[in-house]
Amino acid sequence: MVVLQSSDGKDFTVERAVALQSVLIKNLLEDIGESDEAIPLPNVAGKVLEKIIEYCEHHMDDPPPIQDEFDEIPKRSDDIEPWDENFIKVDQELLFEILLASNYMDIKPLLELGCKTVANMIRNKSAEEIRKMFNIVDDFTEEEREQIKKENEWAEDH
Amino acid sequence: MGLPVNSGPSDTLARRDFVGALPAEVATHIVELLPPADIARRVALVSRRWHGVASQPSLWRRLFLRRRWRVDAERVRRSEAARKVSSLHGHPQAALPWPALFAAYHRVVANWHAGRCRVDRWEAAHREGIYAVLFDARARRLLTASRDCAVRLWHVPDAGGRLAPVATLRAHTGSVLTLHADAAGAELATGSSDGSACLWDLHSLRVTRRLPHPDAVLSVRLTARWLATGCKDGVVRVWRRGCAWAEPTELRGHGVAVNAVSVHGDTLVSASGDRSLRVWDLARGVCVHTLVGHTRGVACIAFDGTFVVSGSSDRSIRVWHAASGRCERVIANAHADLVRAVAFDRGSDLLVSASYDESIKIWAFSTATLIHKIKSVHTSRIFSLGFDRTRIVSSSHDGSVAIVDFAAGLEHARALQ
Amino acid sequence: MSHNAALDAAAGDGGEEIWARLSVGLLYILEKLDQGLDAAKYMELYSCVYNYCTTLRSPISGSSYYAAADTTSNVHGVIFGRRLYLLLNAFVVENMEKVAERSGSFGGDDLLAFYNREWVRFGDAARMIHHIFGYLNRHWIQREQDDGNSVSNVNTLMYHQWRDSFFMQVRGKLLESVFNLMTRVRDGQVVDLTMVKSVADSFVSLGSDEVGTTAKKMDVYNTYFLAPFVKATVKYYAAESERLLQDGTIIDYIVRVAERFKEEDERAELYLHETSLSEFKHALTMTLIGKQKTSLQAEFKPMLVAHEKGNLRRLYQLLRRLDDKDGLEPLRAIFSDHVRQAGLDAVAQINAAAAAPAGDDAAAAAAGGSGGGMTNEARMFVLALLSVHDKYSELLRESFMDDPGFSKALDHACSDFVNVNAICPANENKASMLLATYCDMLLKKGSASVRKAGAEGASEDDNLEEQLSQAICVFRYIKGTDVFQKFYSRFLARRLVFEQSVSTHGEETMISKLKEVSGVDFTIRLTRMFNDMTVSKDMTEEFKEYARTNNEQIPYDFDMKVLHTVSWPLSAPDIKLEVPAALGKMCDMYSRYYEAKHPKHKLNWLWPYCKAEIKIFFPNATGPAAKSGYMFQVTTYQLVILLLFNAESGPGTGYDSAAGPTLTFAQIVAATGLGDEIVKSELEVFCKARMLNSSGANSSVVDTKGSYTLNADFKSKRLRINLAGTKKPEQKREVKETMKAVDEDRLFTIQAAIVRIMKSRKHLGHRQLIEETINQIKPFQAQVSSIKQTIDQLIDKSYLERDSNDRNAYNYLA
Repeated sequence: MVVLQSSDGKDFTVERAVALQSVLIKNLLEDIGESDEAIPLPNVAGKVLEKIIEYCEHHMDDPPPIQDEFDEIPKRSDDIEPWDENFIKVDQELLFEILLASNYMDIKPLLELGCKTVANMIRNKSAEEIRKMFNIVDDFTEEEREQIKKENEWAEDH
Repeated sequence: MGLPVNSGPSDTLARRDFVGALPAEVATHIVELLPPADIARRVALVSRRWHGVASQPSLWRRLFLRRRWRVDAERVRRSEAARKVSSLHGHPQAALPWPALFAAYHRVVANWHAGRCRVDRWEAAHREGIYAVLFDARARRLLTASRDCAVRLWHVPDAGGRLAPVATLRAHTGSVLTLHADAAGAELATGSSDGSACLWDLHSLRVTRRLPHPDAVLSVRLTARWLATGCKDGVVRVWRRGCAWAEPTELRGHGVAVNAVSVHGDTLVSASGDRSLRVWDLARGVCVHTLVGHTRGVACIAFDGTFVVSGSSDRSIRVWHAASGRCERVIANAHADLVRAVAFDRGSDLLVSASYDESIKIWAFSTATLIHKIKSVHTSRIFSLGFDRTRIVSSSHDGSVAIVDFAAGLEHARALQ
Repeated sequence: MSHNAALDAAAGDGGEEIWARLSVGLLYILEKLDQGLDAAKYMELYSCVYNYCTTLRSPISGSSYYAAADTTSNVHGVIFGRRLYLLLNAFVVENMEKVAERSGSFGGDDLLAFYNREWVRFGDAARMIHHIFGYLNRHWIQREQDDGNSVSNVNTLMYHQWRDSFFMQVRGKLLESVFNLMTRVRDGQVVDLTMVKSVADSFVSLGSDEVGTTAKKMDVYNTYFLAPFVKATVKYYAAESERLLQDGTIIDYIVRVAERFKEEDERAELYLHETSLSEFKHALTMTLIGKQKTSLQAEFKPMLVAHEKGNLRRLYQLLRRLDDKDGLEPLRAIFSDHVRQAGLDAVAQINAAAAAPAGDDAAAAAAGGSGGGMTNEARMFVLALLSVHDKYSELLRESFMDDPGFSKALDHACSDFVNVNAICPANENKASMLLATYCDMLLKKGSASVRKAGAEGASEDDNLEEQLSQAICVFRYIKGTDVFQKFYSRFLARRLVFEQSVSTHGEETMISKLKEVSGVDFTIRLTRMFNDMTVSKDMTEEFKEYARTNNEQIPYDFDMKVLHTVSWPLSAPDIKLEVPAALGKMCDMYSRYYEAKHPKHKLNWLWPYCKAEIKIFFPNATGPAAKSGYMFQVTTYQLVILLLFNAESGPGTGYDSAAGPTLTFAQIVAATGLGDEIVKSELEVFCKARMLNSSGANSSVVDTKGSYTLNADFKSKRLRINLAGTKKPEQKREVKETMKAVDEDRLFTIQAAIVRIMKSRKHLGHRQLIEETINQIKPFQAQVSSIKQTIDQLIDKSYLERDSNDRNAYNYLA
């Protein structure tokens, strides 16, 4: 068993296989050896860590992901599995935290899931709709906007 | 395909600017999952920070490479250097203009699908019908083989303009029916109705070896490892290259003339007037599958190592899976007459066919749906086809060669591979 | 971007504070890792890197398109990644310089020990620091590399600095210590070789550079370790080699050097990198064998003559290390010549023995009759070939490790001496004929003496199988396999028709072996002959059934063999035989049965290949012969003649004498339709056997003017008498006929090849035509004279014409 400690001091005792899905934890255990001592995660709050552990426990027995770094097909985001889809139905704040934490802890499948979820939110939306959804201020000047539109004219071709 | 979650902003909860506030690498990861046209038209226009993420060259490089296209980097650098010297300064390994390259890719694909092209035709490239063309876009080289017993080598200019004759190769005493060069482009093989196949050194343009056959050589294929010929006597002959040209392995099985052969790795596919195709394992010298389905003789094939496309006198085109011998798709009545030449590329999902009905047709490889039909390229039977990412080259019974160009005037397009 | 500029840019954004904490941790890892590191500290350092890359904010916010198009994008994180990377690099350099300083006080084995200790420690630290900088590796470095910028990952960066800032300063001293240690090992001292291994390993790791190819990766190792290491080794062994040659014989040298190679090979596997083994071994080889090559090779021939298997093996294994062309190729040529000569000698010896028959050999030859000479010659010949082949195959296996080159040399020599030797003149294919004769002997009933040659204790079948395999071994070397095939099929035909095969299994075994070597085409006719035999047997049964259902009487036992003309080398005689009624009736009945079954087939009767068993009651016989008669086995011709004498005799029968009719020679000829010659030779058999009495003075002399009567007083101790086998087929004539058939076939093959070539080429020069014809023909070597002859024939037949413009070229006439 491995003990993980959140930034707000909560201890989570998990199976080794669960913790190893984080490449950060895996490297750490390799480098300094295993002990009963809790591993502090100063960048991850308890609420988020709990969620992440839930994910890792569910995916504990998954086969290692296939390296698709230069796979010759466009990436897609419409292939989320039902359990994952249900798991990631959280508010924007928590989704944001999960993305940050999975990136920090180097849990690639979870980061992928989070990114796909955000991408699906953005998909098919106009720039204005995106700004509204994420509460973003339009900071372009009119010239800049026209310039960008001109540069990206090609995307209108079908 | 579930509905996107978290789609509606909930007023009771905080909203986060995911792209703006997350570490750049995560933001990029998110954007990379979206359709490229949307990234350019929508994501880039959200805010300055979003634009910053959406216009990173490395993002566009990955988007490009994932589409199975490649780029001739040297060519792009040369034209970039000619255009603006200063931008290369400071980076020895100058980054390529990936957004622009992606744009070029996008436009070329759109042109193929919309049939937007320019057609150039050269009459009397040979005195008589041209049975075969071999187009090497990278070397800007075209080879043509004709009934007038000659093979001609041409320079193909990037920007269009005239085909420039480079040399005429003569060694055969009968019609030159077929030609092929290996990927390295150093050696050429030709086959003729005079009952011989010749190997040429493409630098000196000399015949290095003549291989006698009992009858006309209808098809040749040259790869790094093999030379294969299809002969009118119904036999496929295969030489292992670098083995001192010992006696060929004879692959027997076809009832009548072998019209076409194609080799990929150690797999050979042959097509015959006996209506069948055969898949052979060259390492063991055995026939692995016999592909049956065409109702008349098979005239031409294209093979990329995984799929085989065949065109037949029954006017249909068939797509086969080589390893299993399964027929994947049939395009019945693809043309109004015999299908004389086929070529395909899975990277751009295109299949091109040419027929005695004087037309060239472009199909989506994956769905076998007709994308575009090009009439009036030739006014006589079409014999042969070659194509790259941007152009189709074809030849005809009347001795003409035509180039159909889908990238006329597009910057960087010729560097796409 | 220069180093300083990056550091300057860090001012005022919180970066220095993070770096300060980070660098304390790094120093601890590099120097005191053996005291352990707790998880909290580890996580703190990792988080420092993460925070440095993600949370620092550059004063410039947002971006413009043009800035982004450049690789130094202002997307945040990028600029800080570069800064952190440069800081780390500077830090490692500083640390490595300190290690270099500390190493200054060591030398010799102590230096090796120090280096070894530091190397192990650094390896652990580098791996951990690489992980601590995981975030930088994963993102900023990955991305720079993707963009084609030469940035290495943290692990590589550290090893680069170990190499540049420490190792390059001490490598001279380090190597000196290694060589010193190696000399002691080679002189026989026991030393810890793992020290050498760790130094060599470190040279390998130091070349690792992710952007480089494998060849480049090995640069440091090859240049700074391998080259001097090899040089020192060569120096050591050059001296040793000189000493050994001065003090001892070449044989001693071979033995000693073989030991040295064994030791060095084992050690090299232990401490050298796998990619360099061949280079090291090559250098060693050149030093210990290359220079002494000529004197070593000179030992080969004497060893071969003396058949010293052990020394030959040692010599082979040494010279094998050299380039094949320099080392073994000359030996192979010597080996090939030696085997060839041994083969020629063996054949010459039996030829001499045959030419001067003496003692047992002569008796055996005489006992075998006219054919015995050839059978015996064939046996002696084949066994002589095998003895030489087996002797050198064994040598090949035991001393040359089945080396393909030696194997080829052996094959080459064998195919030379098998085909042309004291018994077989060039171009006559006599070896093929002798081998076929030998096979016939093995497979024919009644030549048990030949088969005894096999291993004792083995079963009959195993013995036969073994001997057939040996025959095949010779067959592989035979040129002109078409000649062998012709003879073999003749002999086989005879064995089958006369039912003389020793076993069907044996016949099938041989054919499947021939098929293995020469392909289906070669044996297809032979196989068909077997098929005919089986079908015939069934048909005979069926015929008997047919006769029964049609109420036809079969007065005597009856066995038919129907042979397809194309498959069999047998032909019907020209003679118009007057078939006796008793025989004719049966033949007609069978013909009716057969032709109804196969309307398109026509039966011809091969009388000379038929046999009959008849029982004769001689009028004055006594004892058991009177009661049950004599049983004779006869040929068809003999049967036909004897039937003429078969008549009721005594009172009222028209014949006064008990012996029955007396017939003149002319009457016999007329009644049988057989020519004078055959009748004469058959009457000779009967007279000699005293079955017939001749009217002449000497009853055993056959006279065409004489007349013949059954010998009523015939007496024999044996009740079964075989007359059919008394005449041996005339072997000489048969050989001649077969060779003629071969020649005809060959001309036909040549003709077909020429027509095929000309049909496709239409026009061809004389020399080219001859070359292509020779190339196209496989089972035999076509003679140029035969080709020329055939070309002339084809011109006569108007298949070809001489080109009117070029007399040295031909045109094809469709």
